[in-house]
Amino acid sequence: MLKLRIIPCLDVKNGRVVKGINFIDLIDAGDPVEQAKIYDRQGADELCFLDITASVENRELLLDIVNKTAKNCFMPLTVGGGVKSVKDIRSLLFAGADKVSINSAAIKNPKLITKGANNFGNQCIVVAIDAKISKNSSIKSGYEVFSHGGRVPTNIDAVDWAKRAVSLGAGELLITSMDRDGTKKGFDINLTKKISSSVSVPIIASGGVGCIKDFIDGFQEGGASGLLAASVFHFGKFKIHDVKKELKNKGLPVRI
Amino acid sequence: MNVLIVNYNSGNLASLYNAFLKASKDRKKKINLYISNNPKLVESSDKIILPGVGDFSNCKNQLASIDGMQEALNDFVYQKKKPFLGICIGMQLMAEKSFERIESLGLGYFESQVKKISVKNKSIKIPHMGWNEIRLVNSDYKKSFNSLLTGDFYFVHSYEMICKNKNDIIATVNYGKEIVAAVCKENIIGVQFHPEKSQEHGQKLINNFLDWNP
Repeated sequence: MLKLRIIPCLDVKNGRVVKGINFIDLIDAGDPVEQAKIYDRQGADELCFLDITASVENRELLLDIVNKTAKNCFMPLTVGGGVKSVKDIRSLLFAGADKVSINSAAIKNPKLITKGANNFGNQCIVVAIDAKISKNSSIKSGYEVFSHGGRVPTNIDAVDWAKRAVSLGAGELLITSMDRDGTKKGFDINLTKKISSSVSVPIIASGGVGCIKDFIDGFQEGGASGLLAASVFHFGKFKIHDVKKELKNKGLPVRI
Repeated sequence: MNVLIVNYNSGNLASLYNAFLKASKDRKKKINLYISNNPKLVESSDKIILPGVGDFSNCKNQLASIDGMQEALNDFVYQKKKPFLGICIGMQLMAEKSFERIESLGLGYFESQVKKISVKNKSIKIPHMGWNEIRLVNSDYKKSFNSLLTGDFYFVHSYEMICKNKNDIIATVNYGKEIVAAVCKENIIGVQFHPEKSQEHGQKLINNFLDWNP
């Protein structure tokens, strides 16, 4: 049986791990390669790096981190942040990433999804969607997509965009609830479920994990194939193997 | 022992190299690990790994674009009969034909075709992505490939290999139905999952391959 994936995420800025509350007020906390090794030992099913303030200058820094991580951790690695071109995707894959997540650039230029998928396969292309509850009547699902690290509203419906991204070639979607991110109030189950039931590809839910029950709900209620968390793992509230043991006790399919 | 990872510009060879490097460091006998697109190196190799990430026809075209490579691989497999491992698309490339995106011919080492995974249950997501438990279905290999007895390996694929000769299938994985996880005959083995991404289980498979004397 396919196992539920528990995915710790490392938000990286200028080569260091940071984690914010609602995308602002970043707190510095650690060396990404060392963190990745810890998660590897703790039994993470996959690792995710997000370069949250990606710029041309720190791109080399990120590639170096990916390269060193891939030398030490023999598990799948997803990397995103500032990916704008097929060239960016290629250099991340060659540095040791297995999957590359695209966010703002895919919104601006949806063809990038198709180009990436045709070059490297759908399984390499993760489209990351930052969504926020919207009262706007033109946003039918009630969730609007934001770009540029959650700073820019796009007036795009999150469910529509999810479907389109998949039809263009995305092999996986990483859905972050901006309302829940950093709040520890649990995943936005409504958002996760709306998207997971609308597309054929696996969904990774992100944003808001605070307790074990949140993981269970994300899987059972939200229909997510992977559950991503940053701060609860990063600041040591939970160890990954403890979470997985608990989930196994509750009857969820996890890899121990 | 000379071990070659065929570099034909397909995806992430760094991880594969790292994983084999780790395995070779943990062994007593020295292993010379090469990553190259030079067909001449095929001749001097004792074991070869054909990796592959992405799209079948892209991979096939890239492989075919290297002058003399396919001939060298065929010679290695059929004449020298030395151990050959295909991983993911590298396994699928050993089929006769794939229907991914466009119909294209493979290397034909296995009487098989590559088709989109189709399952009746609509809640089953495609790609088949993540850790899934495999099961050895051919007991002839329970010693040489004890890593395949059971255990979770990392899979990422939307297409599956359909074998004409069921004896070629040595391990399967359940994903809405039984899917081929590993094929083997004589000196050729292929795995659908990624040993280089499967932590200890993956390392064990790599060691099985390095020890393999078919």
